[in-house]
Parts: sequence; C-alpha cells; structure tokens
Amino acid sequence: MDSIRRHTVTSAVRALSFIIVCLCNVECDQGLAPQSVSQQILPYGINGVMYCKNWPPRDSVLDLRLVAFRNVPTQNIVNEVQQGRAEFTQSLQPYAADSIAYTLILSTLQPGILEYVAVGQRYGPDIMKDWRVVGIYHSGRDTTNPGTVQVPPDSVVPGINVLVDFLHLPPQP
Amino acid sequence: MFSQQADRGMIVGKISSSEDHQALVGANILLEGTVLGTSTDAEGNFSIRNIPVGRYSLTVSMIGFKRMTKTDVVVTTGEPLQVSLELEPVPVQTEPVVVTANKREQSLQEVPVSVSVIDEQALSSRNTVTVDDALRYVPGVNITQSQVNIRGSTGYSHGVGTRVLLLVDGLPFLSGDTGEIIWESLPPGQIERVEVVKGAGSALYGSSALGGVINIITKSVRDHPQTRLRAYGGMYEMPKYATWQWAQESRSFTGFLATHQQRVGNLSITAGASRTLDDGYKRNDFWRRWNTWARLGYDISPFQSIAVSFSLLDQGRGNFLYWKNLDHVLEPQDDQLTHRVQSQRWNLSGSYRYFFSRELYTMVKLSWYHSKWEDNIPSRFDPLGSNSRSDFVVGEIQTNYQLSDDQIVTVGLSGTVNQVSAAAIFGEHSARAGALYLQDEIRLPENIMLTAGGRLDLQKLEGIEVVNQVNPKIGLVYNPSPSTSLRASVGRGFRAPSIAEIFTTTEVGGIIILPNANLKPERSWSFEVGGSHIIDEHVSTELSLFQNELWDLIEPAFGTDGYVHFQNIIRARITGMEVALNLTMLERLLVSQFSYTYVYPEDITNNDILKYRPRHLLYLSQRLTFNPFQVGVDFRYISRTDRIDDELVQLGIVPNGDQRVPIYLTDVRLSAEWKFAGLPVVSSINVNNLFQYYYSDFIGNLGPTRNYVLSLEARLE
Repeated sequence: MDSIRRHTVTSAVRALSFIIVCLCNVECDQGLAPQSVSQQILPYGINGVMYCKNWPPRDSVLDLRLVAFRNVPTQNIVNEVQQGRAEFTQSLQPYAADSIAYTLILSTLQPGILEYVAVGQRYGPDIMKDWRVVGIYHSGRDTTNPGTVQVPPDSVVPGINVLVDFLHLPPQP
Repeated sequence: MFSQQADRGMIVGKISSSEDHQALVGANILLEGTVLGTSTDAEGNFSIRNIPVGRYSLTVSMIGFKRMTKTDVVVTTGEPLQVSLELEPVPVQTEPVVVTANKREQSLQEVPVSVSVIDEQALSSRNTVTVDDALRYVPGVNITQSQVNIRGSTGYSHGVGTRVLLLVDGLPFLSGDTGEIIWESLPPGQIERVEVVKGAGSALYGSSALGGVINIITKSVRDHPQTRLRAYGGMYEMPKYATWQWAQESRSFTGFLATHQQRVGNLSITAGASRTLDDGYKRNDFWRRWNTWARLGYDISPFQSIAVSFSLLDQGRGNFLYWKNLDHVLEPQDDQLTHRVQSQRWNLSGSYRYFFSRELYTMVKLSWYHSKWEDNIPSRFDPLGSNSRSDFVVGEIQTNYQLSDDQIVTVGLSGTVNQVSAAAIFGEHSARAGALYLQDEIRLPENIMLTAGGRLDLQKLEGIEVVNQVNPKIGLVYNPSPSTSLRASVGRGFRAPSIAEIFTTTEVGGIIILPNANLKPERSWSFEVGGSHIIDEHVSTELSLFQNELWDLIEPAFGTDGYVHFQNIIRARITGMEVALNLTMLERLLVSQFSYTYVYPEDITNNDILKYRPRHLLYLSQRLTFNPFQVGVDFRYISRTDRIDDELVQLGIVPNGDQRVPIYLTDVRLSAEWKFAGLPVVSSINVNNLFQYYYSDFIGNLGPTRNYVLSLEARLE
C-alpha cells in the first residue's frame, strides 16, 4: 500500500514538473513586441507641418491634434475615432508656434485612401464633445475642399501640410 | 482568577520533528491564558521565565507541523520544568495557526473561510522587497501594479479605494486620503507571516474588507539577542528590441537592511532600518527609500503586556504613468519625464493585553497613520503640482470570552478619525466612524463548529451620515475525520468611498476628474463552500467554490457634464472556484504546490466582463532542499485580461494600450546556508522572469524584464 502511495506521489511530482517545463516553453513566445516587429510590416502613415496663425487665447486651446479619417466625417469627430474610422497624433505643442511638425503612424486604419485629414482643437473641458476642426489638408486652391491622401502599406507619405487659421475655420463636419 | 503575587517558576525545553528528530527552529510556544510565549532558537531550544506556579496548557505551532497542545503542565518553584516535544509533520499549508479569520488564534482547519499563509521562509527565499511581491504567489491573488485583487474583487483605480483591507497586527494600515495600501511603508524586517483571508470580512473588520483581508503579523522577540544584516543587489536585463532600449546600460537596484532585537528582563526591544534604491527598468520609474522601525514591548506581569511600535518611510520616486507607445514601452510621454513624487509616512501604534483569567482576555489597540506627499505634476487646478497630508487614527478594544470548552464569544468596539488636508486635489475634510462587533463560536456535537456574528458600522463625513450598516456572517466547519475539513460561509461586506473618491479634483492626461458628493458605499454578499483533505503525510488538497454578489461598485466614468466622476455604476457577480494541491516528498526535502483559480467576473450592468480581472490563475511552485542548498522554481500563468479602460486607448491617452497578452512567468532561485566566522549566513541568487517574457501588467505598462538578485544575510546571535 505504501509503495503504491509513494508511486502515486512520485508520479504527481513528475507530472507537476512536466507541466512547469511545458509552460515555461510557452514563454519562449516572448509576449509583446514592438509594433514593427509584431506586425512584421514597415510603419506607414503621413507626416508634414501645421502652419498656424491667429492663435486664440491660451486657455481655449486645451488640446491640438492632427486627425486622419478614412472617410469625410459626417458626425462628431470623437465618435469617428471611437469607432475605429480615424486616428490622431499625440497632443501637438507648443502653443503659439508658427509651425508644428508632426508624424502620424497609422495602426488601426489600414493602408489606403484617407479622405479627410484635419487638425482638431479641444476648446472646452468635455473631452468627448468640445472639439472643432481648425484646419484641413486640401489639394487644390479651394481651402475648404478636403484633399485625399493615398497611404501605401510600407511608407510614410510626406508633405501633408495643413494651414490652421484660427480666425477662418473650415466647414465643420 | 490567577494570583499575581504567587512564586514564579520556569519552563525550558526543546522542540523537534517526530519524523527525523531534528530540532525545529522558529516554532512558536505559547502558555495559554498568559502573555508569556517565545520561539525556538537555532538549536530548537526555548525557555519561558517568570511563570506563576500553577497548572497550564502549552501550545506549540509551526507551519508544516501539526499544532500540539500539552495540558497539565505544572510549574513549581525551584528547578526549571523540562518540556520537550516532538511535532508531527503534515503537508505544507494544512496546519498553520491563523489569527485573522475570527480575531483569535486557531488552526487553519477550524476556520470557515479560505485563508492562505505566507511564512517568513517564503518571504525571505523569494527576496521580495515589499510584501505585495510575495502575494503574487498566493492562490487566487494577483497584483495589478501594487493594487491587490483577491478572486476578482478588485480591478484597478490607481490604488484609490482598495477593496482588500490591509491590517498590521489586526489594525487597518491604509492612507487616510486615498484609502490605499502603501506597501512600501510596511517595516520590511519585521514580518513573521502574512495571512490572506479570501471573501468579505466586513463582519469583523468593517469597510474595505469587501474582497478580503490581508493581515501582517509582526515578529515576536526571542530570548536571545539577535542582529540580522541583509544586503542585496541586482540588475534588470536590457530588452532585446533595440527600439525599447532607452538606457545606455542595464538598470540596477540595491538594498541594505539591519535589525536588532533583544530582551532585557520583561522588556523586549526591536529596532531596524533599511535603505533601498531602484533605478527602475522603465524611464522615470526609479525610487529611493528609507525605512526605519522600532518596537518596545513590556510584560507588566505574566497576564498583561504593553507594546509601542513606530515605523517611518521617506521616499522619493519618479512617476511613470503610461508608455509612450508600443515602440517605446519603457518610456513615458516626453512631458512626463520630470514628474516626481516625494512622500513621508509614519505609523505609531500601541497595544495592551490583559488576561483576566484563562477564559477572559482583553486587548486595546491604537494606531495613528500619518501620510504626507507632494508631486510636481501640473494640472489646471494645481499648476505647480499636488500635495496631501492625512492622519488616520483607529482605536479598538476587543474581548474574547471562553464561556465553556465549546463556546467562545468575541466582542469589540472600534472607532476611527480621518483628517485630510490636500489643497486643491482633495480639499480639507474630516470623517468619523464607529463600530460594534460580536461573534459567537460554538462547537456542536459531531465535530461541527458554528460561527455567527455581525458588525454595526456608522460613518460620518463632515456631519453627513454616509454609512449605517449591519454586516452579518455565519460559518460552519465540519470535521468528519481528523484529516478532512468541510466548510461553508455567508457574509455581507461593504466599502465606504474614500475621501479621494468623493472629492478628487484633478486632471490626468487631459481628462478632468471632479467630485461626487453623492457616492454611496459599495455592498456585497459573499458565499463560499469548500473543504480540505489530507490524503496522507505527503499529499493534501483543497477546493473552494465561491460567489460574490456586488452592488454599487464605484468606478470612474464620464458624467453627463462631460467630466469624469467616481460613480456607483456597477452591479456585478463574481463566481468561481479554486483548487490547490500540496505535495511533500523525500522526507520533506521536496515540496510542490499547485493552485488553479477560475473566476467569472460579470458586469451585470453592462452585460460584460469586469475590467482588469483575469479569469484564470495557475500557480506552480517547487522547492528542493539538499543541505546546505535549496533550489526553487515558481511558475505563474495569468490569463489575458478580457477588458481594460478602452476609452484611454480610443482617446489616444495610452497609445497601443490595448496591446496585452497572457502572462507566463518563471522565477528560479538557489540559496545556500553556511557559516562565516561561526555565524550563520544565507546567500542566494534569484532570477525573475527567467525567459524574458514581455507582458503588460497594466494598461500601458510593461512588466519587469528579466532581473537578477544576489543577496547575503547574516544573523548574529
């Protein structure tokens, strides 16, 4: 009886050791990796410069970001972001600068056509609602007509510059 | 009633194992009905002096051995009484003595709820710097950053308003302003063991014990003077991806601890200090820490004792909030590189114990926790940074009365005062609370133990009554045989909102958080059935099934005004099971432990899974001793968290914050005990995250990279 028990316990210890070794091997998967490594693709997106003039008072510029939309937005721009149809940069600083360079590496949006690239300003405390468009990327002479950008799957498209005139805002979505 | 004028005698003896007759070091000996007790020295010897002549019961306990009580110990004047006992080995974790479950000392198999114990050996062998590191190996427990989650009770809210109550020797140890656990302010060299009670404990401990209770039991002073010196150092390995390497070389950490304890007549003295430094594997995640502590105990007589303790933490640290993005996971946003937090926290506590008789025992305890911190993190409300000062004072009187051999009544009164002064972030506020609790434990025929009790809590915040609640509990333990224990329990829990949750006015990552004076307490009902069985001297098992019903859980959420407020928004149900298996082999030289916990944390309000609760926890541990060496390996699997704060990702506050994976972690250690100049020395090396697995332990935060720790500890006694 004792030998049976001893055998059972020995088997259990061996089984536990085996499980530990097996599970340790899972770790060789390495877990998280940088975006370029994990996706096995080169970064893609857009970059350029925002040219700004007629800055409003500082306390009304709570945030400023460049936003790239898959399609021309028909509703609140935050909703577009939440539904995965737009991506934006980190907050762009500094305040009152004449020009601000940006790079937007896309991750949620797939490569392809961006129909609307704009600069959003948060002017109030409500992070969900208090946003407006203060400048858009345009391709022709009409500064109110959004220009489209073709983003290839393996590169960052340069020269997507946006004029921001806080006194003359483009049409709002 | 004992005569306190009687002549005195002495007991001396030795405690050893019945299996191999080897001396047991650190076994606890208690003379029932008195404050007298001690623990065995390096040779297994002990002595208890100054005992009034009479007849006593002597209880000896040690983890891994069956608790033994020797009755009819007759102490006389003259020659010391020789008492040598041999303890019977049992599988690890089946027979520890616990004090937290029912506010009195009892065997683990007698309590109606799940309790896990971390002993001193486990704390030291894993080279943990703070207690929360050691809790990561406890079945059913996982730690998100430093916020402890027992069986899915807690998600993550930057530590504000913990749902697990931390006690030090039975008294709450939470900051007054945020109601959070400050692990680093616990005196690191003073911990004898940690008890983790799973499930609602509000019927005895009141607010915050919604998801469980963690009790830190501090060390008692031995007969012989002892000085302990410990030094450690280590480094974090650089990540393999070049884009993650933000520093020129590996980041390091070091620490030094010295503590001394001595008994002079009836006076016991403990004092210590530690200095610990960590460069941090993440940028701006460093810390520099001083801890000092002291304890004076005095046995006024064999039946009454008094003790005063003090501990101090002085800390400066960086403040890493979230990673920059997945290509720079070890760096924060550029504008957060200079964020710093400076804090000083101290605790002053005192206790008085008096045995009126062997049956009647009273304890009075008082604790004052002072917390002060300031940061340089600007917000629109505090352009130069925030600061807070809080004082949390708690007092309690508890009486245990043994009505008969089969019935023990516990009754107590407690009161707290909380004063917070925190400029703009929390404002200036004060709160008062009082509570009365009562518990009756009755041993029924057929080896059934019934526990019933409850606690009435009243809390007022600046004159407004915010809590008025009775929390009952009932528990049943049935021991059909000495090796089998079956249990069932039901208890109600609650958590009053912390001052921070009600009054926070700040800005985090562009989001404005404003007060909500209408917050109500969270409430719960906790149900559990389970059992443990010792199959033979090598194998024991444990199984628990549990369900927690929760109402009004407090979470930060956007309000209709566009601002974030803490709100009572979640109705939740957490269902699960936990199974554990303990194995000992080769005359206890090989110890294996396995535990698996499954929880289903259901957010009924949103028909979803609660945030930051992994559903599967699998912990495996093995330890092999071949004198003078010991080798250990720990493996932890924590399933991928189902749900996080998606809003933080969608709004661009935490870029790539949705990137998360299951956690597979392996830690290994090797230690050796040897002698240097006749003194016992323990040296060890630990490798944590052996396989350099990259995972996020919280949204936008990469867990520690592989790190190596070398430590050396010497005991002068």
